[in-house]
Amino acid sequence: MNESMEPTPFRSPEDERLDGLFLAYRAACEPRQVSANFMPELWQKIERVQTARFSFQRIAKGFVTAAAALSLALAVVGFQPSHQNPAFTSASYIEALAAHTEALAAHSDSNEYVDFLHLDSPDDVEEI
Amino acid sequence: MLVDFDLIKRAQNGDAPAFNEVVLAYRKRILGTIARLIARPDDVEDVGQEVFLRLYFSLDQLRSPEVFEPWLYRLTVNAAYDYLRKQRRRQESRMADLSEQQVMIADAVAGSKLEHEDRRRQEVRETVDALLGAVSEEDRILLTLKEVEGLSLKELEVIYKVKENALKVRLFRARQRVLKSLGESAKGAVSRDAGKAGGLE
Repeated sequence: MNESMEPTPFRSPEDERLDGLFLAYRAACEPRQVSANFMPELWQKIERVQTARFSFQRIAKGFVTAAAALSLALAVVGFQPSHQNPAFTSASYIEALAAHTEALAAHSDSNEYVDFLHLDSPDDVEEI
Repeated sequence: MLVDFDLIKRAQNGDAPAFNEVVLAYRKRILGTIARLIARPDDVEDVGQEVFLRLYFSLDQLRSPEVFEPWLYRLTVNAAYDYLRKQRRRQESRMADLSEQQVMIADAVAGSKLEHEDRRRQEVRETVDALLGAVSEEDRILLTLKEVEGLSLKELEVIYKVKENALKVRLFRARQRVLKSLGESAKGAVSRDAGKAGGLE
Protein backbone atom coordinates (compact mmCIF):
# COMPACT_ATOMS: atom_id res chain seq x y z
CA MET A 1 0.00 0.00 0.00
CA ASN A 2 2.66 2.51 1.02
CA GLU A 3 5.32 2.62 -1.66
CA SER A 4 6.83 5.59 0.13
CA MET A 5 7.62 3.33 3.05
CA GLU A 6 9.90 1.04 1.05
CA PRO A 7 13.15 2.28 2.64
CA THR A 8 11.92 1.10 6.09
CA PRO A 9 10.79 -2.53 6.19
CA PHE A 10 9.82 -2.17 9.85
CA ARG A 11 6.51 -0.45 10.51
CA SER A 12 6.18 1.14 13.89
CA PRO A 13 2.91 1.64 15.78
CA GLU A 14 3.26 5.32 14.89
CA ASP A 15 3.18 4.36 11.20
CA GLU A 16 -0.03 2.40 11.74
CA ARG A 17 -1.49 5.32 13.63
CA LEU A 18 -0.58 7.75 10.89
CA ASP A 19 -2.13 5.50 8.23
CA GLY A 20 -5.31 5.34 10.31
CA LEU A 21 -5.33 9.12 10.59
CA PHE A 22 -4.88 9.51 6.85
CA LEU A 23 -7.78 7.13 6.26
CA ALA A 24 -10.01 9.07 8.67
CA TYR A 25 -8.85 12.28 7.03
CA ARG A 26 -9.95 11.02 3.62
CA ALA A 27 -13.44 10.33 4.98
CA ALA A 28 -13.55 13.63 6.89
CA CYS A 29 -12.65 15.61 3.79
CA GLU A 30 -15.38 14.30 1.52
CA PRO A 31 -16.77 17.36 -0.24
CA ARG A 32 -20.29 18.51 0.45
CA GLN A 33 -22.97 18.63 -2.23
CA VAL A 34 -21.78 20.79 -5.10
CA SER A 35 -23.71 24.06 -5.03
CA ALA A 36 -26.09 24.89 -7.87
CA ASN A 37 -24.15 28.07 -8.55
CA PHE A 38 -20.93 26.27 -9.36
CA MET A 39 -21.31 26.26 -13.15
CA PRO A 40 -22.90 29.74 -13.53
CA GLU A 41 -20.18 31.23 -11.32
CA LEU A 42 -17.48 29.43 -13.30
CA TRP A 43 -18.82 30.82 -16.61
CA GLN A 44 -19.05 34.29 -15.05
CA LYS A 45 -15.40 34.06 -14.04
CA ILE A 46 -14.44 32.84 -17.52
CA GLU A 47 -16.30 35.76 -19.13
CA ARG A 48 -14.69 38.24 -16.73
CA VAL A 49 -11.20 37.00 -17.59
CA GLN A 50 -12.04 37.02 -21.31
CA THR A 51 -13.28 40.63 -21.08
CA ALA A 52 -10.16 41.69 -19.18
CA ARG A 53 -7.94 39.94 -21.74
CA PHE A 54 -9.85 41.53 -24.64
CA SER A 55 -9.46 45.04 -23.13
CA PHE A 56 -5.76 44.43 -22.53
CA GLN A 57 -5.32 43.21 -26.11
CA ARG A 58 -7.10 46.33 -27.42
CA ILE A 59 -4.87 48.62 -25.34
CA ALA A 60 -1.77 46.71 -26.45
CA LYS A 61 -2.85 46.92 -30.11
CA GLY A 62 -3.45 50.68 -29.68
CA PHE A 63 0.06 51.12 -28.30
CA VAL A 64 1.60 49.10 -31.10
CA THR A 65 -0.28 51.14 -33.75
CA ALA A 66 0.73 54.42 -32.12
CA ALA A 67 4.37 53.30 -31.90
CA ALA A 68 4.36 52.22 -35.55
CA ALA A 69 2.84 55.54 -36.65
CA LEU A 70 5.41 57.50 -34.62
CA SER A 71 8.29 55.45 -36.07
CA LEU A 72 6.99 56.07 -39.59
CA ALA A 73 6.68 59.82 -38.95
CA LEU A 74 10.23 59.96 -37.53
CA ALA A 75 11.54 58.00 -40.50
CA VAL A 76 9.87 60.41 -42.95
CA VAL A 77 11.32 63.44 -41.12
CA GLY A 78 14.76 61.84 -40.94
CA PHE A 79 14.95 60.96 -44.63
CA GLN A 80 13.61 64.29 -45.94
CA PRO A 81 16.42 66.30 -47.72
CA SER A 82 17.25 69.52 -45.89
CA HIS A 83 16.86 72.79 -47.97
CA GLN A 84 17.98 75.22 -45.29
CA ASN A 85 21.72 75.40 -46.15
CA PRO A 86 22.36 73.84 -49.54
CA ALA A 87 25.79 75.49 -49.87
CA PHE A 88 26.99 73.89 -46.70
CA THR A 89 25.86 70.43 -47.69
CA SER A 90 27.00 70.65 -51.32
CA ALA A 91 30.39 72.37 -50.72
CA SER A 92 33.55 70.26 -50.66
CA TYR A 93 36.02 70.43 -47.82
CA ILE A 94 38.44 72.71 -49.78
CA GLU A 95 35.61 75.10 -50.71
CA ALA A 96 34.42 75.24 -47.12
CA LEU A 97 37.99 75.91 -45.91
CA ALA A 98 38.41 78.73 -48.45
CA ALA A 99 35.13 80.30 -47.38
CA HIS A 100 36.22 80.09 -43.76
CA THR A 101 39.60 81.75 -44.52
CA GLU A 102 37.86 84.57 -46.38
CA ALA A 103 35.54 85.11 -43.49
CA LEU A 104 38.49 85.26 -41.07
CA ALA A 105 40.28 87.78 -43.28
CA ALA A 106 37.22 90.01 -43.42
CA HIS A 107 36.90 89.74 -39.68
CA SER A 108 40.54 90.81 -39.03
CA ASP A 109 40.09 93.88 -41.34
CA SER A 110 37.15 95.10 -39.36
CA ASN A 111 39.14 94.61 -36.13
CA GLU A 112 41.91 96.96 -37.32
CA TYR A 113 39.29 99.57 -38.10
CA VAL A 114 37.85 99.23 -34.63
CA ASP A 115 41.28 99.51 -33.03
CA PHE A 116 41.98 102.62 -34.98
CA LEU A 117 38.76 104.15 -33.81
CA HIS A 118 39.55 103.07 -30.27
CA LEU A 119 42.86 104.95 -30.22
CA ASP A 120 41.11 108.14 -31.16
CA SER A 121 38.49 107.86 -28.55
CA PRO A 122 38.04 110.95 -26.24
CA ASP A 123 39.45 109.08 -23.24
CA ASP A 124 42.71 108.33 -25.03
CA VAL A 125 43.11 111.93 -26.08
CA GLU A 126 42.79 113.07 -22.50
CA GLU A 127 45.43 110.64 -21.38
CA ILE A 128 47.90 111.96 -24.02
CA MET B 1 -10.92 8.47 -18.50
CA LEU B 2 -14.28 9.87 -17.56
CA VAL B 3 -14.81 11.43 -21.00
CA ASP B 4 -13.81 10.40 -24.51
CA PHE B 5 -10.98 12.02 -26.44
CA ASP B 6 -13.36 13.50 -28.97
CA LEU B 7 -15.06 15.59 -26.28
CA ILE B 8 -11.71 16.94 -25.10
CA LYS B 9 -10.74 17.79 -28.68
CA ARG B 10 -14.03 19.62 -29.17
CA ALA B 11 -13.47 21.54 -25.92
CA GLN B 12 -9.97 22.38 -27.14
CA ASN B 13 -11.48 23.88 -30.27
CA GLY B 14 -13.54 26.27 -28.17
CA ASP B 15 -16.80 24.29 -28.06
CA ALA B 16 -18.46 25.66 -24.89
CA PRO B 17 -21.00 22.82 -24.41
CA ALA B 18 -18.15 20.28 -24.73
CA PHE B 19 -16.14 22.14 -22.08
CA ASN B 20 -19.24 22.20 -19.88
CA GLU B 21 -19.51 18.41 -20.20
CA VAL B 22 -15.85 17.95 -19.31
CA VAL B 23 -16.30 20.08 -16.19
CA LEU B 24 -19.42 18.20 -15.15
CA ALA B 25 -17.65 14.86 -15.61
CA TYR B 26 -14.57 15.78 -13.54
CA ARG B 27 -16.11 18.24 -11.07
CA LYS B 28 -16.82 15.76 -8.28
CA ARG B 29 -13.42 14.07 -8.49
CA ILE B 30 -11.50 17.35 -8.61
CA LEU B 31 -13.49 18.88 -5.75
CA GLY B 32 -12.82 15.75 -3.69
CA THR B 33 -9.10 15.99 -4.34
CA ILE B 34 -9.07 19.70 -3.50
CA ALA B 35 -11.02 19.06 -0.29
CA ARG B 36 -8.33 16.61 0.83
CA LEU B 37 -5.48 18.83 -0.29
CA ILE B 38 -6.59 22.04 1.39
CA ALA B 39 -8.83 20.76 4.24
CA ARG B 40 -11.04 23.89 4.18
CA PRO B 41 -14.56 22.85 3.10
CA ASP B 42 -15.72 26.44 2.61
CA ASP B 43 -13.06 27.21 0.02
CA VAL B 44 -13.18 23.98 -1.98
CA GLU B 45 -15.55 25.28 -4.66
CA ASP B 46 -13.55 28.48 -5.13
CA VAL B 47 -10.36 26.53 -5.71
CA GLY B 48 -12.27 24.12 -7.96
CA GLN B 49 -13.50 27.00 -10.10
CA GLU B 50 -9.95 28.29 -10.27
CA VAL B 51 -8.81 24.88 -11.58
CA PHE B 52 -11.47 24.81 -14.32
CA LEU B 53 -10.80 28.45 -15.16
CA ARG B 54 -7.12 27.60 -15.71
CA LEU B 55 -8.22 24.56 -17.68
CA TYR B 56 -10.38 26.69 -19.97
CA PHE B 57 -7.60 29.12 -20.80
CA SER B 58 -4.84 26.55 -21.17
CA LEU B 59 -6.70 23.75 -22.91
CA ASP B 60 -5.20 24.72 -26.25
CA GLN B 61 -1.73 23.92 -24.82
CA LEU B 62 -2.65 20.27 -24.25
CA ARG B 63 -0.79 18.30 -26.92
CA SER B 64 -2.76 15.07 -26.78
CA PRO B 65 -6.03 14.15 -25.02
CA GLU B 66 -4.36 10.97 -23.66
CA VAL B 67 -2.51 12.99 -21.02
CA PHE B 68 -5.57 15.02 -20.06
CA GLU B 69 -6.08 13.48 -16.60
CA PRO B 70 -2.53 13.89 -15.23
CA TRP B 71 -2.55 17.34 -16.73
CA LEU B 72 -5.80 18.21 -14.92
CA TYR B 73 -4.28 16.82 -11.71
CA ARG B 74 -1.30 19.06 -12.25
CA LEU B 75 -3.57 22.10 -12.58
CA THR B 76 -5.36 21.00 -9.40
CA VAL B 77 -2.12 20.58 -7.49
CA ASN B 78 -0.90 24.02 -8.62
CA ALA B 79 -4.18 25.73 -7.66
CA ALA B 80 -4.18 23.98 -4.26
CA TYR B 81 -0.56 24.96 -3.72
CA ASP B 82 -1.28 28.60 -4.54
CA TYR B 83 -4.26 28.54 -2.18
CA LEU B 84 -2.25 27.03 0.68
CA ARG B 85 0.51 29.58 0.26
CA LYS B 86 -1.97 32.48 0.34
CA GLN B 87 -3.79 30.89 3.25
CA ARG B 88 -0.60 30.54 5.29
CA ARG B 89 0.26 34.20 4.74
CA ARG B 90 -3.28 35.30 5.64
CA GLN B 91 -3.37 33.07 8.70
CA GLU B 92 -0.07 34.41 9.98
CA SER B 93 -1.28 38.01 9.77
CA ARG B 94 -4.73 37.16 11.16
CA MET B 95 -3.36 35.24 14.13
CA ALA B 96 -0.92 38.03 14.87
CA ASP B 97 -3.88 40.41 15.19
CA LEU B 98 -5.76 38.26 17.71
CA SER B 99 -4.86 37.59 21.30
CA GLU B 100 -4.65 33.97 22.47
CA GLN B 101 -7.86 34.40 24.47
CA GLN B 102 -9.71 35.72 21.41
CA VAL B 103 -8.59 32.73 19.38
CA MET B 104 -9.82 30.35 22.10
CA ILE B 105 -13.20 32.10 22.30
CA ALA B 106 -13.57 32.04 18.50
CA ASP B 107 -12.76 28.31 18.47
CA ALA B 108 -15.26 27.61 21.26
CA VAL B 109 -18.05 29.53 19.48
CA ALA B 110 -17.31 27.78 16.19
CA GLY B 111 -17.21 24.43 17.98
CA SER B 112 -20.55 24.85 19.75
CA LYS B 113 -22.31 25.43 16.44
CA LEU B 114 -21.20 22.18 14.93
CA GLU B 115 -23.04 18.93 15.19
CA HIS B 116 -21.29 15.97 16.77
CA GLU B 117 -20.33 14.26 13.49
CA ASP B 118 -19.19 17.51 11.96
CA ARG B 119 -17.15 18.21 15.06
CA ARG B 120 -15.47 14.82 14.89
CA ARG B 121 -14.67 15.38 11.21
CA GLN B 122 -13.31 18.78 11.99
CA GLU B 123 -11.13 17.34 14.74
CA VAL B 124 -9.66 14.81 12.32
CA ARG B 125 -9.11 17.53 9.72
CA GLU B 126 -7.46 19.81 12.27
CA THR B 127 -5.25 17.02 13.63
CA VAL B 128 -3.99 15.95 10.20
CA ASP B 129 -3.79 19.58 9.10
CA ALA B 130 -1.56 20.33 12.11
CA LEU B 131 0.59 17.26 11.42
CA LEU B 132 0.98 18.22 7.78
CA GLY B 133 2.03 21.66 8.98
CA ALA B 134 5.37 20.04 9.81
CA VAL B 135 6.23 19.87 6.10
CA SER B 136 6.26 22.42 3.29
CA GLU B 137 3.19 23.04 1.11
CA GLU B 138 4.81 21.08 -1.75
CA ASP B 139 5.46 18.08 0.48
CA ARG B 140 2.04 18.35 2.06
CA ILE B 141 0.40 18.09 -1.37
CA LEU B 142 2.69 15.26 -2.47
CA LEU B 143 2.07 13.30 0.73
CA THR B 144 -1.69 13.86 0.53
CA LEU B 145 -1.83 12.73 -3.09
CA LYS B 146 0.09 9.58 -2.16
CA GLU B 147 -1.27 8.67 1.26
CA VAL B 148 -4.79 10.09 1.19
CA GLU B 149 -5.71 10.18 -2.49
CA GLY B 150 -3.99 6.86 -3.02
CA LEU B 151 -2.18 7.77 -6.23
CA SER B 152 0.59 5.40 -7.29
CA LEU B 153 4.19 6.48 -7.75
CA LYS B 154 3.78 5.97 -11.51
CA GLU B 155 0.86 8.40 -11.55
CA LEU B 156 2.79 10.89 -9.44
CA GLU B 157 5.74 10.57 -11.78
CA VAL B 158 3.53 11.64 -14.71
CA ILE B 159 1.95 14.52 -12.75
CA TYR B 160 5.19 15.89 -11.33
CA LYS B 161 7.43 14.95 -14.28
CA VAL B 162 10.01 13.80 -11.74
CA LYS B 163 11.78 10.42 -11.53
CA GLU B 164 10.16 7.82 -9.29
CA ASN B 165 13.23 7.48 -7.05
CA ALA B 166 13.34 11.20 -6.35
CA LEU B 167 9.66 11.08 -5.42
CA LYS B 168 10.25 8.11 -3.11
CA VAL B 169 13.00 9.92 -1.25
CA ARG B 170 10.95 13.07 -0.93
CA LEU B 171 7.88 11.15 0.26
CA PHE B 172 9.94 9.20 2.77
CA ARG B 173 11.48 12.32 4.27
CA ALA B 174 8.12 14.10 4.42
CA ARG B 175 6.51 11.10 6.11
CA GLN B 176 9.33 10.91 8.64
CA ARG B 177 8.78 14.57 9.51
CA VAL B 178 5.05 14.01 9.94
CA LEU B 179 5.73 10.93 12.09
CA LYS B 180 8.08 12.95 14.27
CA SER B 181 5.42 15.61 14.65
CA LEU B 182 2.86 12.91 15.53
CA GLY B 183 5.23 11.53 18.18
CA GLU B 184 5.78 14.96 19.68
CA SER B 185 2.04 15.71 19.81
CA ALA B 186 1.42 12.33 21.50
CA LYS B 187 4.12 13.10 24.09
CA GLY B 188 2.56 16.53 24.65
CA ALA B 189 -0.89 15.00 25.17
CA VAL B 190 0.51 12.47 27.66
CA SER B 191 2.30 15.17 29.66
CA ARG B 192 -0.85 17.36 29.64
CA ASP B 193 -2.94 14.44 30.91
CA ALA B 194 -0.34 13.72 33.59
CA GLY B 195 -0.42 17.37 34.60
CA LYS B 196 -4.21 17.32 34.88
CA ALA B 197 -4.13 14.11 36.93
CA GLY B 198 -1.50 15.65 39.21
CA GLY B 199 -3.66 18.73 39.66
CA LEU B 200 -6.68 16.61 40.63
CA GLU B 201 -4.72 14.79 43.26
